[in-house]
Amino acid sequence: MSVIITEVRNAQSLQADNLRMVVEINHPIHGWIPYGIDPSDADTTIDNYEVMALIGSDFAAYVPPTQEELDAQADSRNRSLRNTLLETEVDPIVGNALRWSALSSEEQAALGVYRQALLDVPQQAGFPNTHTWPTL
Amino acid sequence: MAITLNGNGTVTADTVVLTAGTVTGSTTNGAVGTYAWATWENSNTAAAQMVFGTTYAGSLLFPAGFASSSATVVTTTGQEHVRYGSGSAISVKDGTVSAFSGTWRCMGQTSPVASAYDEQPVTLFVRIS
Repeated sequence: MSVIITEVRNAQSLQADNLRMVVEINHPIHGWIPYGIDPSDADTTIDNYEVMALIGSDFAAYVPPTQEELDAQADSRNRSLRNTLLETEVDPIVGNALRWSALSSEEQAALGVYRQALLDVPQQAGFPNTHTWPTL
Repeated sequence: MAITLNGNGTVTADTVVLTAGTVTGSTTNGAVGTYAWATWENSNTAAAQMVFGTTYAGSLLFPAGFASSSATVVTTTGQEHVRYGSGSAISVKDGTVSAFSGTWRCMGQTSPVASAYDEQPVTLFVRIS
């Protein structure tokens, strides 16, 4: 069953070749709703070519992320990874008296160095793009 | 059974019997009418609460699931149960997947986001167009 769309508004291109869009469509059942157009969409309920024809050239141009935004994303991603490594590789041992006491003094020292190196990753000169991860 | 075509173009009938055949909803992944677990692209750029009944463009949503970095097997009454362990890192999104298309209605609700860096909501969606 096809649904005929006759009105669109607020289209925004999502990539440089303008093949992916997000737009609001006036759906005959749902009213104005957001709608994502992607060439890989196999669903034919709405004819995306007709929606693209309605949009025409009336859309906001694709805005690639700035280097500042990419850096912010990398910063967040790498801090999350650092936290995950602390929570999964260090804390379960350091926070468990039995597991901690079972380690040799050398192993305890190595774990302490590893923990501090993880904490210091964001202070590396190349963070968040060219830093190195410590190993245990 | 009397069927009458009225002058104003409407059709009336005394009795109408409808016999339904088999109606099957689509099971094609991503098709209108299908459900999927979904999440935002990542928490640092779009960590918004997912609100029950709200519609979202598919381009904002990605297929999601749950996996633990330290799942353990617990045996009780002879049955093996899998649980996420303490300190477990839980992954929800595969970085290789593409966003959905169309329009999706949120069929769950996540908690309000307290930290832009720490929360990655996941809930159930149904595609409506």
